[in-house]
Amino acid sequence: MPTLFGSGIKRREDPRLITGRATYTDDVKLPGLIYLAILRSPYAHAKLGKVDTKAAKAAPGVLAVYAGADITDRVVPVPCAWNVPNCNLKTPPHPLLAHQKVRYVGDGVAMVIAESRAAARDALDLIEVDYEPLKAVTDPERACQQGAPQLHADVPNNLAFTWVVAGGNADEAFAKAEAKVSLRIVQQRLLPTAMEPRAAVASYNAGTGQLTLWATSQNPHIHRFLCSVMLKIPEHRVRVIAPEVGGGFGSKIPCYADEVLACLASMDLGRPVKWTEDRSENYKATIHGRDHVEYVEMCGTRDGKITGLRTRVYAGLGGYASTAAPGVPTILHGLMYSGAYTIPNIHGTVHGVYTTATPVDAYRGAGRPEATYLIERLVDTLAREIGMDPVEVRRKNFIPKDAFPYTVATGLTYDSGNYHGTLDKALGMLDYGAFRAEQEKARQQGRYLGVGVSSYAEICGLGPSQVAGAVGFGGGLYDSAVVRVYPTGMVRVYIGTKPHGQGEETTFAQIVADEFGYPVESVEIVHGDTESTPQGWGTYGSRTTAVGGTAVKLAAQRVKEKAKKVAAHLLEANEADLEWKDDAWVVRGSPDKRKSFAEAALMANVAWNLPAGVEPGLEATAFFDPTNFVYPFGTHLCTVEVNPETGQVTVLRYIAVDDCGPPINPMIVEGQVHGGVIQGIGEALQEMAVYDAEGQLLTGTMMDYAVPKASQMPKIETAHTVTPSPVNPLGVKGVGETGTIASVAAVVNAVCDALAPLGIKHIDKPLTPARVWAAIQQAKGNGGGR
Amino acid sequence: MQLTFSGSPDVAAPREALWSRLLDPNAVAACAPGVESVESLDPLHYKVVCAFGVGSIKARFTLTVELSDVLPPESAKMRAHGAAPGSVVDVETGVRLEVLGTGQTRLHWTAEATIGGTIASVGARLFEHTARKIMDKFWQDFASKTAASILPA
Repeated sequence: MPTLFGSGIKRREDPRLITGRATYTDDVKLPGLIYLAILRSPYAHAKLGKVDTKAAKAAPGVLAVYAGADITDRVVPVPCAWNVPNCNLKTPPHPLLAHQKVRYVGDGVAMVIAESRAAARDALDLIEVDYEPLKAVTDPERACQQGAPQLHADVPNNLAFTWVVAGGNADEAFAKAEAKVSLRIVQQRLLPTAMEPRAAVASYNAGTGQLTLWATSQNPHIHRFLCSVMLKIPEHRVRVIAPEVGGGFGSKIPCYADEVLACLASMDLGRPVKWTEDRSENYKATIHGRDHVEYVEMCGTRDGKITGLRTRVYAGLGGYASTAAPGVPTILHGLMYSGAYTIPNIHGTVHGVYTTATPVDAYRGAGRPEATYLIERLVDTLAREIGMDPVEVRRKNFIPKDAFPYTVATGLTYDSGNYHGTLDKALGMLDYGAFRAEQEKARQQGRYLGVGVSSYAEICGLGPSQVAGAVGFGGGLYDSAVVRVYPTGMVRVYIGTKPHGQGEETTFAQIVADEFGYPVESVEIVHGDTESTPQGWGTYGSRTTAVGGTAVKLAAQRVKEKAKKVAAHLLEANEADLEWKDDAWVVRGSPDKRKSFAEAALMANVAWNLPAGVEPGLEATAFFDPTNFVYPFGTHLCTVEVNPETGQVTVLRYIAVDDCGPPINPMIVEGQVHGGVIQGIGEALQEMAVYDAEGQLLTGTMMDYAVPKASQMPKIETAHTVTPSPVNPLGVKGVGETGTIASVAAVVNAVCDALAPLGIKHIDKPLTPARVWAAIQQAKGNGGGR
Repeated sequence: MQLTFSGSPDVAAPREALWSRLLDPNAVAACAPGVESVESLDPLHYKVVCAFGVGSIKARFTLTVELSDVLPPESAKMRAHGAAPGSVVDVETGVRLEVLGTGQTRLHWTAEATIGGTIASVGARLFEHTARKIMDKFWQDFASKTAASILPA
């Protein structure tokens, strides 16, 4: 029987999603539902004076109005849950509603609860707030200079932390180096833009003391824990349900003030409370991504051996430290400075800086796209400096495939890899030599073609819980599954992770169905409800399959072991004499004596005739804590043509060769790569959150923030190599973020390669026509070009 | 977002005539598009309600207006602070009247506007153009109405 593992079956979750039959948080309707709206600061930075809620309280339909002062003593401030050690981290209180000060446009100031959404919104306009505006600063490099506006009383120069990673002796390597290159790189702020904005429905039952929160969450168990802390109610009285979640990309990891405010309102008013963001509110009140200013250097020999890498990074955190924020530019970024290479000497300094802007947290790739981008830009820059083909520099410095497990200078141990393999495959798909010839010919005709290479290794499958603890992550990083088999043999699997677009209702069912010899239809995957699912840590960091998927596999194996005992008993045979064939155990040598898994499941559930010492029922729980992270890798190639008259970049071909271990469902893997690549191309070419000098967000709508559109995207050619991970029994790695991690550098490298004849070394992304055109003009003015 | 505007139209009216109209809130309001009401709190303070639209955004602002540095009949400053749903606006205006000749005055004006909140994030692309149009039209109307007012009936 062919296995489902490895088969590109269609996603089982899609029919309901594309026919409008999915239930999202905003679809939840409860009797007596009332509505919450939040008044948000129009100032980036201001002293908060009197908040007069009298008129709003008197407005029709209004049930309650709260300002920060009304709730300060009742709740615990929003916790930062990733307290990275050894960096002098300062996380000043983040009140649920601003108290004394507002620190970004969108900071919550007051809330109204009313009988209708409209009444709640209208009443916001009746709240009078005295603000005393203060100077704003949204650039993380400027924000930590002397004299910059100070956000928090006890955080001098807005410096939340200074984190250092070091391995080898970078200073010595640079002092001795034959070749050195440096860049100043701005990794612009991005708006995650999940299709579904955030929402919450809170319902408190005073009779049972039970709070139920429906919320847009990638990790309901983390929400349960943080809600319990903030609201000071016992964790076992909090139930969090994340129903259908319409994309997250990291923006639905944090526990925000907003959903906790809905809980508080429900506890006070004794009715269920709903809050839903609109898009403009989402752009201001939901976390942003990236926001680095980086000074980076690479050194090496003239024959292309990289000997050192140094960085100084200013990472903007926004007004407060969001849930996982400190870990993103440090653990998930700085520890990856070796990339796919054997760089012996590394020194990185990351300054986390508070700015008068929306808080920044994990956004697709979270720190790793920034790391890959700076490394891959430097590799290309070094290649050009020493006059070597960028492909050759990469080849020369890759960690060789027989060197795994390999410990890089930052201390991480990569599990497995074959970096030359993905590079060669990608080069073959493109016909690199032919493209270089075509490029040369085009240059003779005054046309600017370029090819960008981006080879990456990324850390995902977060991760060993012991490491999580050691790096200050406020939770475990194991995951869990309960496999429950019904009397008819049908199976429900309850998981601790929380798929929200990644397709695990399909892939996890493939794993379990294979185990029992079932069609995929006999297995349902249940997720998102803390009441029914075992303790887990959610979906982010491309961990769901490598960690949660393994727990599913282990639980299914445990179930099967027990069912085998029952089958042996029914067959009056020794377990050792049973052979698993397709969907049944067969007594070796007697092919007629067989019991299917479903038959064993029935007997286990009715318990009429069980072997001695075997309990009735058929279910098993597994918790899987990996011994290491997993490290997917690959090479992406992008070819572009740049119009020198307009600065317009056209992507000609996009080739992605990734290795995430054996793919459970190749179609879903391809879909994940597509989505990631498109997000990366958006970052490379057009997306940028723009703040003005007063800290006003100027890209506050989808008219102004340039999310990629289908018509702008190239065909994405995907291929894979398969290098299993030794870290988990499935051999799988993650693929949710690889596309974003690889593609940004591929595109920018291609444009810089195209414009190399003009002497252009670097243009900061996004490479909008205006920026590219300006760089071309400047280069021509400086005497560059032909 | 912060925007600066200025202009210096010539007005066919003597300086005193311009000055007295400048201090008459109703005469000023009559030229300002979208003004719905003007309430004089004292000779230097007013409360103005006006509607303003940029693109798809329509907002009704309640403005408190304060006159300062009043030097008759030459110059004055006006500071307006207002709020609309989710938005704030601050405008500092300076006016100086320069005598050009008999019955001719040059009206120098500057305005510095600071906009925050929804209007900045939703209407940024359109705001400067719209605001400039409104300001130009206001001073043009003010000049022409003042000139018309001194013509013999």
